[in-house]
Amino acid sequence: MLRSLLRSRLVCYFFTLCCVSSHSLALEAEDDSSTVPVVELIVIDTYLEMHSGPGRGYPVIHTMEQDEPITVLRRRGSWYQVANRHDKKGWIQQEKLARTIAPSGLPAALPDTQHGDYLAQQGRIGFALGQQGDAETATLIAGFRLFSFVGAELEYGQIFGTSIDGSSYGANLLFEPIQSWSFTPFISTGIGRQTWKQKEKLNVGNSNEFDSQYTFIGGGVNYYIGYNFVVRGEYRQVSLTGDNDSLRNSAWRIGFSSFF
Amino acid sequence: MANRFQQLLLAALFSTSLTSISASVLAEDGDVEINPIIVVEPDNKQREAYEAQIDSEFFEVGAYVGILAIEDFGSSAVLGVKASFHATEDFFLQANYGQAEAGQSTAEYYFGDDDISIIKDRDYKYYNLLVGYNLFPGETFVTQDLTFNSAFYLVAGAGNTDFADDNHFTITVGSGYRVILKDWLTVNVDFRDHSFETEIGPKTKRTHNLEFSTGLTAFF
Repeated sequence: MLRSLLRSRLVCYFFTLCCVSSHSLALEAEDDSSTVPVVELIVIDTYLEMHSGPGRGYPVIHTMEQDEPITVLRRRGSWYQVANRHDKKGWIQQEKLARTIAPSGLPAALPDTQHGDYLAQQGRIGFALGQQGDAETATLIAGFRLFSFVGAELEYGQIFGTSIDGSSYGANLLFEPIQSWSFTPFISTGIGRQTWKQKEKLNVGNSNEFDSQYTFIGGGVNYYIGYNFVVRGEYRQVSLTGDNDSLRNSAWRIGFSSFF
Repeated sequence: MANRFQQLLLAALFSTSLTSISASVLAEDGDVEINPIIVVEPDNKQREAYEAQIDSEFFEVGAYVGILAIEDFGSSAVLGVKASFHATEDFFLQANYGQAEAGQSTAEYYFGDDDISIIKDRDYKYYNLLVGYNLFPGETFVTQDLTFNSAFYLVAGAGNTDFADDNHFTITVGSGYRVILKDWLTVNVDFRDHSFETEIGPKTKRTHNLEFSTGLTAFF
């Protein structure tokens, strides 16, 4: 991480040097004042259209010509806000912005998060809603991809029963052997712990709180929408083991997550 | 992926055009030398550099204030915080946490005094996890010269409501309107229904708690 940061800093520095040498001295002074150098690209298509916003439907407000230099300001999803030399700002789709070159003449190497690249994306966050037995569940999930076909996840959730409430935390492994489809099946397994508490109004005995460990095996389907949004349907067979008894439960959930 | 292909294509185009120029120059001497095509790979170092330089904004964080109608217990002011993750131009994930204090029910108002109340715990706390869809992205024209980007969006999800000494699994659906005041600052107006089943004596009843709120959020 530190190494890549250092490396990127070095490349930034080199990049600034290139920019400065190809521009006037006045620009050099400006570049010195800002800590992070700006990304400047040159249009190679006959024209490039700027939209008024980052999304479908936003109208074209400006057109840039071939050989015009543009500055990349910010990124939101797969859209980039750019400014031309007259400081006219607008949004350009990633696919269109890829049709530009760096001042060095090399193709613009933009960071991308696209469906085909999701395997290279390491982190993911999301949540899942569902049912375990008769109780509803709401779970927060954070995960990362260990290998191209295995993901590891940590989850923390709440369980809402009629006479009993619980919280749950666990670790999951996700095997996703097929990767080229929008709908991809997966197999999941995991371990965790659930803490149960009897609701206060029903609490008559002493042992109103207890723990149980669980393991599960399950499976489901991931549906990849757009570049980095996943909808997941999952079914689990959960084995709960308490102090002196065990229980089998079936659980299902629908989850939404995004990787970055 | 398409991006990478385009880059490769461009690189190939450049190198072929270079070779054709050099070939045509040399052809004048009657001696044709064909240079090998050099494929310029997309520069991964440059990609990392760009990633560090371009300000990627996926998170939107803010606070809101509004009115929450708690079924049977009047309407109260609600305060909350929210965080959104914009996954694509269409979809976002949102987490909300809000707090309100329930007022008196009509029964309490008429027949009760301070000693008699239907519920002890009057703190209404909730969180929810929602998925949002920007249904109508567009522009809001305030005057002829003042235009803001905006979006009408739908949200749905679930979470917990901690009310009357009990946790309730709560389904939340709603719609909202987001106006982007500056590149980083937005103002939101939200209308949401928080629905959960509550126990009154031996019976259960599904309540609908409507919330109307407005807030500010910042992209970063």
